Amino acid sequence: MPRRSRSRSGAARSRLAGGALGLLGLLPGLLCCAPEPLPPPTPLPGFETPFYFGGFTVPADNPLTVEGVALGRMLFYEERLSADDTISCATCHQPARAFTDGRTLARGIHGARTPRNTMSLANLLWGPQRFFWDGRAVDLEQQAGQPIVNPDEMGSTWDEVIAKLERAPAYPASFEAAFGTREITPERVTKALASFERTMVSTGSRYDRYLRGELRLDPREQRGRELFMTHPDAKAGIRGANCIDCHSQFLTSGFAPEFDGFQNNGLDDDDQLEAGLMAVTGRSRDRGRFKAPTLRNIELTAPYMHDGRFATLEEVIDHYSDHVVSSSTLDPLIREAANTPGAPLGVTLTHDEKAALLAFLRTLTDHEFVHDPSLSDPGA
Amino acid sequence: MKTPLDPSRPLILPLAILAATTAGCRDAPEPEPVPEPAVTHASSGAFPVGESIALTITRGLPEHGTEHGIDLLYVDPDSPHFGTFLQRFTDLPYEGGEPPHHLYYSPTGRLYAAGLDPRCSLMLVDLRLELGKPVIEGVTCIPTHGHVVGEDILWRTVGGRELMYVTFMGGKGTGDMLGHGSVVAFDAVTHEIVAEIVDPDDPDDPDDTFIRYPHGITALGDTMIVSSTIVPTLDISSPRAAIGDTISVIDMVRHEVVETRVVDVSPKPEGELPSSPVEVLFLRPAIHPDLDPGVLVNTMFGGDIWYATYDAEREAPLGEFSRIYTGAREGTGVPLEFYAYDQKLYVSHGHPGVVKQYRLDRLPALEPAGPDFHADPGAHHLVFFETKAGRALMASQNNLLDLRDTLGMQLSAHTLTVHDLETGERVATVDFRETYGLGLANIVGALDSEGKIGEEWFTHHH
Repeated sequence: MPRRSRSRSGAARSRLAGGALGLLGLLPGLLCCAPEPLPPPTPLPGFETPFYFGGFTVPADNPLTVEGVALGRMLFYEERLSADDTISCATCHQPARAFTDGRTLARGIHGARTPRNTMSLANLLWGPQRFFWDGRAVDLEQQAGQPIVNPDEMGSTWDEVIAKLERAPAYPASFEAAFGTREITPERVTKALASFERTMVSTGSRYDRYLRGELRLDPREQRGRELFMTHPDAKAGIRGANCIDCHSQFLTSGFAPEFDGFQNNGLDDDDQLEAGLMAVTGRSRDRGRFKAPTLRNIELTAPYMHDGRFATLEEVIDHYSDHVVSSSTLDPLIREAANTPGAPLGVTLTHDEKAALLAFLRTLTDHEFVHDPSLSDPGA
Repeated sequence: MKTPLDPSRPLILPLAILAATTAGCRDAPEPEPVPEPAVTHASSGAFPVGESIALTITRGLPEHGTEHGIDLLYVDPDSPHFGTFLQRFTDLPYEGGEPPHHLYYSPTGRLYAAGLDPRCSLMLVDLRLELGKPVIEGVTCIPTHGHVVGEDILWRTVGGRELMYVTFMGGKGTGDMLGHGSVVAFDAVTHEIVAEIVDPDDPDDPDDTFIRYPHGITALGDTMIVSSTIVPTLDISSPRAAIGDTISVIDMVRHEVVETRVVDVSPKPEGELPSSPVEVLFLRPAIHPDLDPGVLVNTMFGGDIWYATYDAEREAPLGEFSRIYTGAREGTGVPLEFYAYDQKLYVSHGHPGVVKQYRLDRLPALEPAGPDFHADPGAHHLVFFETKAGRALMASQNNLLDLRDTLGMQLSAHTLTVHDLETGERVATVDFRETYGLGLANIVGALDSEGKIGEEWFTHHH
C-alpha cells in the first residue's frame, strides 16, 4: 500500500528558522522554508463491493482516503470524545455485537438512559442516507457529531474535545496526514468518523456467500428467503412474510430515495405512537415512522426495534405475523399484506414458516465482519 | 408481413455451429479502420451516482476488424458521456466466432450470458464495483456438457432447490451435427446439471410431444413453456424440418414435456414458412394482479402475436392459440421481445423497427397504451430507465443477429435509439457501426441513476 512520507511539519520548521536567523533573517527564512505542500491523502485502494449492492455516494469534500479512515478508526474508539473520558462510539457500537450494545436502550455518560435502541452499523453507504431512527441526520458526517455533544450520550462540547485531542500525542499528526494540517476541528472529527463508518462493509455472511454462488442455502433457509422476498397475495395463493417491502433484497436495509426507508411497522396504536420521522419533517403522516434498519447481523443485535421492545427475533417475527397494531400511519404495504383472506392484521405465518424465516435471518450473520481487524480498536 | 423468403435459398448464416469459422465464412472486405471506442473514466474518488449505465454486448464486425465484447455504456442522453463506453471488455474466453447472445441477472444478482458460439454456450460475467465504479472483471464459461447455442435463461425454485433453466437451440450438438435442442436445468449455485430435457420429434406419431430448437422460455408455478424457433444454422432449405411452429409445455417437477402444440394451425399456402415462435410470456398475477393465466407468443416469421388461455385445472391446460395481432395488416414483421414494465407491455418488432406499447391490465386484448416508438431496423432488446433529471426513457437495441438484409428486410441497423416513454419522442441515437465499427447485439441495464440494478432488469422477456 503506498504511504506518503512523513516529514516534520512546516510549522515546526518555520519556528526553527526564525530562532536561528533572528528578526532580520525572519522573512527570508520564512520564504525559503515555507511549508512544503503535502501530497494529497491516499485514495482508499481496493475498496471493492458487490455489484448487487449498487453504487454509492461519498461527499466530494470528504473522499475516502487511507489516512482519513485510519483517523476515523482511532476516533471511533476514543473515549476522550466524551465529557468524562469514559465513553467512545464503540461503547454503544461494539464490534462483537455487530456494532450494537445488547441493551434495550442505549446508555450515555453517568449511565443516562437514552430514548433509543442502538442502531447496528453495517453497509452505511447504501440504504436511506438519513441517519438515526428518526432520520434527523442528513449524512454520516452530521450523524457522527451529534452523540458527542448530546448531554445524554457523550455529553461533551467541541471545545473540550478539540482541546483533549490536541493534547493527545497521536492526533495532530494524524489530522495532518488526513487533512493536510494539524488543525483539529469538529468538521474534521466528524469527517474522519464518517469515513471510517463508510468502510464498515459486511459481505461475508452465509447469505453473501450464497449470492456469490459459493454455497447453497439449506431447504429451510431457502424457504425462509422466499418468504422474506415475497409480498403475500392471498387471492393468488402466494404466501410471503412481506419483509421485502421494507428491507431490500440484497442489503436488507431500507430503500434509499427520500424517506422511503422509513415506515410505521405497526407497533403501537395512535395513542401510543411516537413522533418518529414526524420530528424531522413536521408532517403528521410521518408520525410513528422509523428507519428500517439493515438486517445484516440481526442475530447479534438484540433487542430489537427503535425502543428495544422485543428481546428475541422470535418475538419480532411473531409481531409481524400476529400482532401488528393498526394506526392512522400504518404502512399500507403492511396493512394489506395477508396470507389468509379476511384475517386480522399480520401475515399469519405458520410455525414452520416462522422457523424458516428465522433460519434465513440467521444466514445474515457475518462473523468475518464483526471480527474484522481493520474495524477493531487500533489501540487494543 | 408474411415471410418474404425464398425457401429454396439456404440461409446458412454464421451462427452456432458455424461460429468458430465465422470470420472465414463471410466475404469480409479489408477492415476499415475505426477509432478505438472512447472509454470514459470517472475522475478520482468514488464513482458518482447519477449516471444511467447499461451493459451491452457488441459484435466485432469483420469489415472493421473489431472484436466482440461485453461493455458498460452510458445511456442517459443528458449526460456528457452519453453513448461512450465506461468499459469495453473484449477478453472473452474464446476468440472470433459468435459473440455472447443474451444477458440475464439471476435472482441472486449474478450476471449470466447465453452464448451462440458452441465453444461457450453459457457464461458467468464477473461484475463488481470498485469504489462504486462498475467493472467487468472477467467472463468464464460454464460447462454445458455438450448443450450448445444458449438462448434464454429462467430461474425457479423447484422442490426446494434453486434451478437455472436454459434453452439450448442446438441441443446436444457434436461436431457439425446439432441436436433437436434441449432445455437444461442447472443447479443455480453450483451449475451442476440437474436435468436434461431432450424430447426429439417423432414425425410418425401425431400425438408425439417434443421440443425442437427451443428458444423462448416462461413459467408459471411448476409449468414452463418453451417456443420452437429455428435450426441454429438458419439453413431453411428444408423449411418444415428447420423452422419451428410449436410451443411445448414442460412439467418442471418431473422435467418432462407434457404437451406440444402448434401455434398457427391454419392451412399454409405453398412456400409460406412455419411461423417460428420466438419469445413467449406467461400472463400471470406477478405481471399484473388482474391478469388471468395465459400465454403470449411472438412468431418471428409469421409476424404475429398469438394468445392461448392456460388453466392448470384442465386436463390439457393450454388452450387453442388465437391470433391477436396480425403483422401483415399492421405493416410490421419479426416481432421479437416482450417486456412488462410499469403497467404496460412493450413488444419490439424488428421490421420496420418499432416498439409498440399496450395496457397490461387489458391483456390479452392489445389495447394501445400510447404511441409507437420508432426505433431502427432490427428493434430488439429494450432497457427502461429513469434519468437523473427524472425523465423516463427506453433504449432500444436495433439489430437481429447481424442478419442485415438477409430476410429481405433490414434487420441490423446496429444502433441504440433512446425514446421518451411519455411523449414517444426519439431523443437520441448512437450508431455503433458508424461510430465504433461494432454491431450491437444485446442490452440490459447495469446501474440506474440511483446507483441500483433496476428491479425490472431481473425479468428479461419472461
